[in-house]
Amino acid sequence: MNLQQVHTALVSDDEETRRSALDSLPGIPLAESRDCLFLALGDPSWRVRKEAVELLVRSAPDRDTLEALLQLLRSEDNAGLRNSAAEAVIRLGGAAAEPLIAMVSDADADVRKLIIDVMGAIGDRVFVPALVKALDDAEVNVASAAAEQLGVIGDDSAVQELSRAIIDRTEVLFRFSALGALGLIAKPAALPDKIKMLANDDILRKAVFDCIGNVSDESSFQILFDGLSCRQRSCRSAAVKALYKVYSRSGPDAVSIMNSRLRALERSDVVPAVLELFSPADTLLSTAVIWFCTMTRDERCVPILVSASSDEFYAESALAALKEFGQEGLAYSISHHEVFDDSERSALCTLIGESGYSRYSAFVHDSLSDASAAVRRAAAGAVGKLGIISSLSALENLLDDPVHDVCTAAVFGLRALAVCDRSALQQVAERLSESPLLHHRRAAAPLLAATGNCTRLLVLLKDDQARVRKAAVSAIGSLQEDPLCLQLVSALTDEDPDVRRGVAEVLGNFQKCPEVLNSLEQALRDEDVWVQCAVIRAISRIDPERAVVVIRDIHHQAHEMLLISCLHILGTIGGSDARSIIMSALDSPNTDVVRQARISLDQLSPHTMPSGSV
Amino acid sequence: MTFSFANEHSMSDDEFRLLRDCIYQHCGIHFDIDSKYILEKRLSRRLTDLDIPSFYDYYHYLKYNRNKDQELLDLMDVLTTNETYFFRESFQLKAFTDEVIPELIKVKSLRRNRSLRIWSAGCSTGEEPYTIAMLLSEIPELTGWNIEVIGTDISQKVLQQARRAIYSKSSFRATEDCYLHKYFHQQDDGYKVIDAIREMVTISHLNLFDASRMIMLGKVDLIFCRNVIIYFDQAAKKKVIDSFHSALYDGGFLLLGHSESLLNISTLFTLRHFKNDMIYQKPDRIHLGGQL
Repeated sequence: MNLQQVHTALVSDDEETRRSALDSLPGIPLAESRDCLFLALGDPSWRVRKEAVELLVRSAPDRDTLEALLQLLRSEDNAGLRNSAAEAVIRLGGAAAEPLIAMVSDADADVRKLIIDVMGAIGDRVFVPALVKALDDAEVNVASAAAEQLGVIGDDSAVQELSRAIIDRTEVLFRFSALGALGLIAKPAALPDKIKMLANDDILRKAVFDCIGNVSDESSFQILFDGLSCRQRSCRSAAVKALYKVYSRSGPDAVSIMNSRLRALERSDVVPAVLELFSPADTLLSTAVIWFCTMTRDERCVPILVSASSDEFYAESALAALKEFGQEGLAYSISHHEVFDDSERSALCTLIGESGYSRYSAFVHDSLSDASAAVRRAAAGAVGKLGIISSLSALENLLDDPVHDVCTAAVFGLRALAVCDRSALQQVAERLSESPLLHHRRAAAPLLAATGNCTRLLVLLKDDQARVRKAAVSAIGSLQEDPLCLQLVSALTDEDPDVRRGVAEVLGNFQKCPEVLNSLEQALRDEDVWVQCAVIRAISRIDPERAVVVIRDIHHQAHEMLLISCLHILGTIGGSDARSIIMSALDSPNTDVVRQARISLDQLSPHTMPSGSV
Repeated sequence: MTFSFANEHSMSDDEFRLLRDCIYQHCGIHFDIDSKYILEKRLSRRLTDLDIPSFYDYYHYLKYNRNKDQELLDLMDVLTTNETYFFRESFQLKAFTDEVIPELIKVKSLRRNRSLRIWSAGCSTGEEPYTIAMLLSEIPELTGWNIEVIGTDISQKVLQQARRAIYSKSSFRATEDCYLHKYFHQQDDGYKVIDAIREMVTISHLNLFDASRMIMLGKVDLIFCRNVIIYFDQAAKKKVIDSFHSALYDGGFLLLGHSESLLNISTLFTLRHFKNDMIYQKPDRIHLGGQL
């Protein structure tokens, strides 16, 4: 299409025709295509406008075109055109700075405001002086926009002028915007009293709390404590968030005062007023509420904490907070909250196990047969932690659970029970080791190790299933009994690479067996690179100096993964040889190798520089 | 495995960035730093299962281990969110059955084409493609048509459930009794979708970021991709939307989730204002008289 055809197409009634007409413009010089582009910027369809903005930005417009583009911001009857022009100027960024600054004193207040918004969207500090000047604009909308955009740009050189303007200008709209900006850019310090006093104004209270939360110090405690009793939910939310933030950055003296003030709120009306603010979607607010629960230790907080502990984001802090309440707190929760959902039951089991609340053994035992896999998993862990030996057979049954995580948890629980009743566990372990089922024999390995049954473990090391042999290797490794090391060495020739890798890993723990090092060096020729990595790690644990020699011999031809392992080892061992090998890896074409080389280099002490290096 | 409050493995910011980029390159799902806890928590169990000591080592495992392809699949099972149910977002389904399908029937009938292919992209456990099949079965004008509903997802675990087609109560929170009685058999372990509906639905594994695999899917008349692209960043969204554009016949429709739009992502689709919903449509070249 030539320019005339493009122009004709751009006034077509069909949206797709107008949009596709723009495809012809990239080959035409901007000076000629500008009118068509400007026409498309004001198209009724957002699709056409978007394409026009894209083309204009890509064409790198000259100063003349930029000024013409800025004049489009005056368009009163076509909001689409005005917005597209603004978007194009924003995308052009710093290139538009000079003409933009010139327009900030425009006679038209609407244009001034739009210019200021564009400056903020570009975000360049070059606009700060112009924006500071605009804080005194006669039009409040313009001054408010200037304050807001100063916050967006985030240059703290404007703090003093912003604070002055908040005090001088009495318009609520301006103060609201300026408080927000101040909160974004000021550094933590005492806030001027005249600004803090603005919290007495219903409309500005929340903005003042937000600002205090971001920038104030402990001198604002009292205002925030009072804010916890505000009638408006939004103000209470802002107050608890601000308290949490100020507390987090306060020194020990201030924290101590705050602790006793918060503790004194137990059983007060403030607690339910704060608890009702908990809203998982607002992570800062909910984190602050959980913190508030921990500080006040009011038992009415417990149900909220149980509920929060079922959320992936809050689980850790909520469970830690619940632990502060002790067994009594849990009793309150269980008596006041009859129905728990799956996640809550799972969290309760974790809490009971972690805290050692043996009073709830029956609850945990019943949970082993819960319909939810997450609950069964947590209960299995808790049985082990509490040492509920009466749950032994229920736990053993979970080894056949259809969910893998539950089976793993059952093994964990059973292994922990070995401490309570070794002989009972011995029987279970032996029974499992003779089972025709692979997953039973696999589970038997750590249990045999926990009960010290090496004879059966060595049988499992000869199992026909690789996964059982691998489990046996890990279990034998955990025992670290030197007489077993020869059996492990012979397993370095196992047909399964995962077994060989496991063997190599655990052989690094057998530092007194002379046969091990030679066998490991042979195993460096293994066809599987992951086995090689495990082998070199094992060698480095037994004899670090030997490892450096071996690495020096192999690093030139090593697979990138092996090289990464070698570099990691060298960073730990150190020495001038290690440094020179690491330095040579910096030239590798593989980014992962170079990354590891840099990490290892950082680990080395500066006095291991090889001669001649800088 | 420790069964304590804290994660068994802690993830440094560097490890987070490496894994985040690795996941993004594989499937376009974007995690920002605020979501680090999700990666830390969910991947922690992978480390335990694989007996890997750190997230840094896990990153190397994903890049260099011989089992890396399988591990990426397992990783997707852990990372993707699979909450869905039958007849979700009824207003959108009403636009589909009452407005979009009649229009497709009209256009396709004019072209003497009596086949309909619908793709449910990110179908999770299968509730959406089976819902679509049930709704299409209720339209008398489609009797005798060749209808295929394709459900795809990146998680193999959920696809297994989709293939089993057995559902528990939580999948029926928006299902009217008449549909439950007509299209499901009750059995011990839940409600099973009847064979007539299962025959209409093909379940398949697909990474929306894998354009070459997507070509094998062939052209479709309509794509449901609801609450999926919210997990992508702008660049990934654009890539996926471009692939959808290629996969659709001219005039085909794209149904996104009610909170999703193509604003600032793509100008390839027109936005149609139907009575019950707004739906994106690939412009129809034939309708434009072959101008394009």
